[in-house]
Amino acid sequence: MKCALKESERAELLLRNTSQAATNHFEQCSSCRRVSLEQAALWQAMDSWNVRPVSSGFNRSLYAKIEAVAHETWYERLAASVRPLFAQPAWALGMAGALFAAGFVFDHQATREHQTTIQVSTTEAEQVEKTLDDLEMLRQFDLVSEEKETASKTM
Amino acid sequence: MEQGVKNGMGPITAPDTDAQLMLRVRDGDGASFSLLLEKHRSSVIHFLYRMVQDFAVAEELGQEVFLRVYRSRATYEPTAKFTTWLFRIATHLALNWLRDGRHERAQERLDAEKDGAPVLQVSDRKPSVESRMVYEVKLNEVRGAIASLPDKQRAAVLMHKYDEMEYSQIAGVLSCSESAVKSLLFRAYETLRARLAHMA
Repeated sequence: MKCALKESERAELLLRNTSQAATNHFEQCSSCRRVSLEQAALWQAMDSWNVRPVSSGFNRSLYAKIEAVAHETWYERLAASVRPLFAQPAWALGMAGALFAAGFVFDHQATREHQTTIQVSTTEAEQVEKTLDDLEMLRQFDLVSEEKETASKTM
Repeated sequence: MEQGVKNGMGPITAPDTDAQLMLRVRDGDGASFSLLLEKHRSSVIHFLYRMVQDFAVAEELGQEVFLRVYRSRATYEPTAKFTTWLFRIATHLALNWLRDGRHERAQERLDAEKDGAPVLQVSDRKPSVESRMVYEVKLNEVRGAIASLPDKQRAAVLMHKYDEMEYSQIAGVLSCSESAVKSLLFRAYETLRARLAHMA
């Protein structure tokens, strides 16, 4: 037989299975009665998990840490409060991303400056080259005119 | 320092609640901190042990819990039950530890680790080897089944079963609604019943 109760209602009854409402329901509902017995067995099994007592040096070690905290400087306190943030992967990734972005921006700016410098240098070189060409052309004019003068003198 | 904390400034006059004790710690009463530590140390460490299933780690995390309580004393406001706040810190640390180290720990450690194992309590007779072995097998199955639960379900079950916390308090620790806690517990116990059905 399937129980007609909602999951939340069943949860309430099964988790408080000693209440009067639970007892009344279990008398009518064989499904919940079975689950309730299984739940009781589970709790009994879980009861077997005892834990040993706390170590005798626990307090001593804790008070030593507290003593260290009491003598912390302001920047150590600040570092201690910020440290957990860096222990979280999301924060660490965020910081790494921000550093990467900052690095990219700076690097990009440097490249642009570098490109401008190269451009200026190229223009200067072209100008120098053109000037040299002009000078060469003038020198050739001079040579031609000198040859003409020499030829007219010999004639 | 132990002396300094134990012989704090405030007088010890049977304070009625943990929150009041914590308010005294805020006012510089070290003795109240010692009272809180003595009162809650075992439950916090046992909860942490059942969460991380390593006793040395549980004690280390337990120290961090109480250190955080001490560090936060100046800003403490009794807005919630003291134990809700305390277990919220403990749960947060345990969940972080589980999340950070999940990939580094081998599952077989569960079987290998015996350091936090309890002392078998069998009246006044020494347990036989057989009963000891049966107990160990049973215990390992319970531990394994609990360890296999999703972290939040595990925390909810441990607080509900071993610390007998109310739904509202578990909800406060896990920062969720009471109905969400009921749902977490229902599903968790359903999984455990299925996994440990052969033990019934």
